Amino acid sequence: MLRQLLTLFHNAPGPMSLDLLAAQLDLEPAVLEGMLAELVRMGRLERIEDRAAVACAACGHGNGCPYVMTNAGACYGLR
Amino acid sequence: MASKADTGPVVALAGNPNAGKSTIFNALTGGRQHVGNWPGKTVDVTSGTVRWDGGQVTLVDLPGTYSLSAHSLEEVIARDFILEERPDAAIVVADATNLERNLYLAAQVLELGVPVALALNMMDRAEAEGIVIDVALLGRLLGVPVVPTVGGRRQGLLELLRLAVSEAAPHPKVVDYGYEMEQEIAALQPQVAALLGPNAPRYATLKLLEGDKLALQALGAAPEAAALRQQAQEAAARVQAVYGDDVELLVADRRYGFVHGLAHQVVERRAGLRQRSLTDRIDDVVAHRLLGLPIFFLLMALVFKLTADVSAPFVDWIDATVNGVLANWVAAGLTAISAPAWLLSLLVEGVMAGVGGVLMFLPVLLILYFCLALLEDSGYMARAAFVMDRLMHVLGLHGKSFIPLIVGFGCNVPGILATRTLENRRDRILTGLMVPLMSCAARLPVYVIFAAAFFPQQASAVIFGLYLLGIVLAVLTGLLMRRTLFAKTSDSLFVLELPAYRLPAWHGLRIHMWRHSEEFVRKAATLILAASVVVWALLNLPIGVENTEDSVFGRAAGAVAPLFAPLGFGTWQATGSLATGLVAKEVVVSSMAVIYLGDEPAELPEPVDLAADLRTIVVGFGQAVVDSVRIVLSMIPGVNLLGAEAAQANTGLSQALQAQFTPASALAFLVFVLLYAPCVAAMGALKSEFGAKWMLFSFFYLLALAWIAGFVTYQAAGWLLGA
Repeated sequence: MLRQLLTLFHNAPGPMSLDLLAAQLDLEPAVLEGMLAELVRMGRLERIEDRAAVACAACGHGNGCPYVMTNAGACYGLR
Repeated sequence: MASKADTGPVVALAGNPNAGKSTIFNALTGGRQHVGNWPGKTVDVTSGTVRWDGGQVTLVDLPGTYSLSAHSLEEVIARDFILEERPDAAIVVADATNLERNLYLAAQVLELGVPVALALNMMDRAEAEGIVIDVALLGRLLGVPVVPTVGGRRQGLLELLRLAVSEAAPHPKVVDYGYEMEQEIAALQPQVAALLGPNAPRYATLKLLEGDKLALQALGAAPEAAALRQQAQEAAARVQAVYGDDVELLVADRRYGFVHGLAHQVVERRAGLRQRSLTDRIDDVVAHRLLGLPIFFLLMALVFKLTADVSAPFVDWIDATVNGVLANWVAAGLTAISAPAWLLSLLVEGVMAGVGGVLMFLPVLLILYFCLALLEDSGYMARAAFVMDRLMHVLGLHGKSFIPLIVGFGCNVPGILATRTLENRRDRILTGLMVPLMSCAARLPVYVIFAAAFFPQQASAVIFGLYLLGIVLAVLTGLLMRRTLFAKTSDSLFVLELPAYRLPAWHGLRIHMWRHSEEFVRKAATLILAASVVVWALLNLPIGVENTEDSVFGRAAGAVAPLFAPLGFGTWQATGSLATGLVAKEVVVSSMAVIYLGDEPAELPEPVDLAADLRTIVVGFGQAVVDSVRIVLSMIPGVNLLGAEAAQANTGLSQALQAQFTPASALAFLVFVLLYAPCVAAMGALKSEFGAKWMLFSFFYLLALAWIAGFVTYQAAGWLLGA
């Protein structure tokens, strides 16, 4: 599951919402959030705050495109 | 099953945050709880006893965690308790509406090799949401007893406990980690068991393969340990070569896969019932980006208005009873037996004025703690952390840091201890420095007494303003620290989960309310009693002193008093009261009661008429109840049952203060009390959590901040109020 999730991050065509990503993995959004937190703790992802307020193009995240989280205004990106 | 002779079987209660674990713990243990220090750890663990079926079971409430990965202190505490204390069984409380996420922790607890029973809590809500769980199949797949429960209604709880104690059995090999990994585990596990003992060898082997630092350290320094570390490293490298990823990720990946498959097999959602829940609809408003913050402050204002106004009639009643009727009884009794004057003075002007002066604020605290428990148990406090998340990020913190700050409103000590839930030391220290600025309940009696004396019509606004000032200065302190002492550190990461709203259970509220207030009563009977006697003694030394200003206390306080003259309260009485507040903030009030009321000329006791006095007490209480109800009803827009009456406590001390302070100096005094150095218990907590250096920093920083803020307040208020 976690490896599949990381693969999706690597192959991301662009930003994606938490709900859409959860649906793609056939997961409840709450479960996906738990997985994302686990990957952050393992140092595989980073959580970036307050990206929801800016356009994706203005984000300037240099390490691949993060997935925009719809509920907390935060993004997760590959480390 | 091994039982402890004195405690009965010990059962640990584990679960995700907001799964209803504490509700179940409170429902099962009732008031039979105590918070004790876990031997060898600086961590308090709450335990309670359940008497049932002729014996008893000891329940231990572990911190709520999402996993046992040991990345946070809560996870370490929960994991180490099970590993080191080896409870007879563990109950994992899972939220049935969010089963898959909760099963991840259940799988990890099972891997620790302890007998487990699983509670599917909040089953009523799961059913209402169209979630159907095959309980029997889940039990078979996990190999553990599974019991549907509704904690708030106590459904299924005794059955859960019975099965945990009598039928649960260890089932550590719940997850299959794949052929290669299982081969390596099987090869290493006997050596691990030989070195570390029979407790959870599979789990210990997994952690070794993951390269977990604590597990590697636990092996010790023996030559066999070094060889085992080397073997574990080689085994991990082989696994990594096969799968192309490190063992920690592979283990978590397999565990998530297992849990996902399990949930798919046992959970079914009825079509058509998946719709936006009531929680979603409430959150649209209270967790709104723009509305969330004003709603939070409105709610806090309402809490303080309720606390100050509704408690006022009861405060008056206790004051009249203790310092009126009871003091008269004691004085009349002592006079009847021709007791010496000093004893009369000690008991009436020292003990009763001091302890009674503080105890009369018990209703204030009961209502404050009730409101805070209501907000927490309903699920709103998590929203408060959520809406404050953005503000906290300005300080380089996140919403989780707001939780210790909210806890600090009750008492700063648990607020400082609650910083342990934060992941890194920088966050813990920064939050810990902000906590003493949260106005704890012990400061509330000082606010209430001064507000009643000087601002009777705006008392709740003044009190709310002080709380708000504490928050604003905490934010500014955070910003200052962020730009100076903590300028070069980065933010930590955290995902905040919002639990569903729920109707708080009355017994849970009652336990929360009383647990904190009980501490206040205990303090009144010990610390405040002792402080009152000491202050009284110092006020009467040297023996035969005529004027209290010439007493030891008066002279010592008078020497420091000029420092506070620019703040408007440079008197020995105010300075002395503030100094005693370092013991505990409530002592400021008891000292003032001893100083100001004890200084009044002693009156001869009135003749005791027991029947009339008892009637006065009972009728007074009834009137206080009626007045409080009228005050509550008058808060409803359009309803006014109060007329022109002020709903504020008006005690003897309030009247005495009016002669000593001006409105401007009273405001400055309140601001100083809000901000100045925390009490000894809070300083002790700061020292134990962050070290002596940070404790001293906090002490002097807050003292300086209080002086500056008090000075500005006095000058500004003097200019505005013309006093």
